[in-house]
Amino acid sequence: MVNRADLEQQLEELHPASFAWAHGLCGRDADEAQEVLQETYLKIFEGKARFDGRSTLKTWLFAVIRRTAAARRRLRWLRDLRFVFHDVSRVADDHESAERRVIHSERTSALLRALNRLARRQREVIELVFYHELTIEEAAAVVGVSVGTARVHYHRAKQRLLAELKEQP
Amino acid sequence: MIDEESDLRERFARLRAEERRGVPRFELEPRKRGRPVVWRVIAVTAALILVVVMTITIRPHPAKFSDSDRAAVRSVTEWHPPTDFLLRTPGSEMLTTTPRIPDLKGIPQ
Repeated sequence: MVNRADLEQQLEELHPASFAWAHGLCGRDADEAQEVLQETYLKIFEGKARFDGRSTLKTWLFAVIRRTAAARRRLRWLRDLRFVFHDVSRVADDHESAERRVIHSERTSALLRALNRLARRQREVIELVFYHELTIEEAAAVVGVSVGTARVHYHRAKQRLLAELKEQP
Repeated sequence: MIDEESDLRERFARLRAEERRGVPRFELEPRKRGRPVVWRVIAVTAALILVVVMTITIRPHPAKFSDSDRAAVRSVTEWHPPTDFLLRTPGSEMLTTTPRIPDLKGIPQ
């Protein structure tokens, strides 16, 4: 059983990677990524998500972040329909957001454009493997699919990415 | 193929490096629960009111008849065709009445 201080320290160590993962899941929206992460951390500290040691902490944390981002996406869809007015703790003001906004080089912008054209699953798997340097087995655990399915997503995503990048100047 | 993959890895590494600058510091903020609860209560109340109004509007009401409606119904039921008498045949009352047994008083046993 990990105590709160240890857990907090481990989460802090993983924070840059967690933020990058949330950032990718939220379509590179830094504010939304920060909110997803806050909600994830609270879920963990409130005991709504428990680490059972069946995988690495990073894999488990990434899976929780992914589920939280998906839940928020569904909620945002409802909010867009004006059914739910859910102003979930917007932590960053505009000034902070502007500071956090990343300016990408031409080369990485081309990569992001190509990534955006992929199916969600394919994008998730390829980002986990290339960006976060997880194995396909770990990526499968995060995304919640079998290793075989993850392998198919990985290969298709890689082929499509390479094809897209060749077409781009 | 290996070149392509290493190119892809290099692009992702660069993306990672660029995005690392925008990572906010680690912090835990308490959840703000006030507003969402209020809005949820309003939404649930509005939904309930809508259901009640719809139930009242859609549910079948008992039909109400005016005096003129009743009079019209009565006149229809009381109407007889003018050729009704043609259906009356001689002795037809025997088919609708029970014959009376004659009074046996005064008849010798």
